[in-house]
Amino acid sequence: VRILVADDDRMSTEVLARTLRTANYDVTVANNGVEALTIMQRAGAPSLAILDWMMPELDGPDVCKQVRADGGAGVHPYLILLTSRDAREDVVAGLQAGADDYLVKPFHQGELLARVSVGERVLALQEGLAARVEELQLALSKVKRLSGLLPICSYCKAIRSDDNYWHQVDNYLSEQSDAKLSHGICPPCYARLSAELDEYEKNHPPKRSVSF
Amino acid sequence: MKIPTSARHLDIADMRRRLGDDEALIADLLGLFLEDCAARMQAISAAVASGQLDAVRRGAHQLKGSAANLAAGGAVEAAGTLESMAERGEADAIDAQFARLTLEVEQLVAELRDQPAERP
Repeated sequence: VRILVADDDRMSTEVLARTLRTANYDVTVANNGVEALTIMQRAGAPSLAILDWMMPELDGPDVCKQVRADGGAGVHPYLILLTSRDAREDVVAGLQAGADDYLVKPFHQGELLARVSVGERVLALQEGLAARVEELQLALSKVKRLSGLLPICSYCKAIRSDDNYWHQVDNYLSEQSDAKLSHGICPPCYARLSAELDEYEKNHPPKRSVSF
Repeated sequence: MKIPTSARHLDIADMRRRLGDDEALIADLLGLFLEDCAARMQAISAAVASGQLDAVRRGAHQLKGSAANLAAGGAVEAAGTLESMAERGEADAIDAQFARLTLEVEQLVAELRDQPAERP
């Protein structure tokens, strides 16, 4: 996981970066909010960011808001805000600005790493869900299904398709659904057809021209 | 940077707890604090002199954050008070509070440089 660390205080970025690098994270450092936002807006931006609350020009919550506003296309990095100990009332505002978590400065290394691993867990879940949704969407596009209003001829029972052609109902069904049709004959039709056949044979007696 | 063995103005034990006994990191943080401290104090001083409360608030906040990294309780508290005063617009009290902060920071810096400041 790549992590962005943004703080205008270099003691803070030093502690963050060194702690995270020791834990084998790939760390990028920004020294203010504008720089942080630029990095988060790049293609292939870090998926997790630790942002100081108070930075000149663009503060942490502003960066969160902007990242969330940009993230329409399913990009949802995990954002952790850094606040000082007496700014707890700001936490609500920070979370409302789009942060996922917060960390009180000066932090304990163990707590920092634990919160980062929570972020990793959420990111992994998110990624899993996104992959599943994509899979389902692909499957859905392949599923043929019949729904909505079908225009059907009252007499011959032909069905009009979207492209304005009339199809025999059996052809239409096998094209538009996964149903397989096995052709047969129902008793009323059998009775009607055999009567018609008898009638035809009566009117057209077979020519007995074949002789051996 | 040498880590002071016994310090009254900062809590080395707290730093060790928070930073997993990473002596090199602790030493580097102390060094960074010393490097940045004078410039931060000058910025606050200039803001106090020109009555720019917002700059006083920002500078005091930054210094508070730096000092908090060293668990330097006295400096953190003095900077925090100065920050709130600037935020509330208490211009009259700011000079005196800045003087308190200066004293705290001087004692802290002296201790870090291993030249004990005169005992109060």
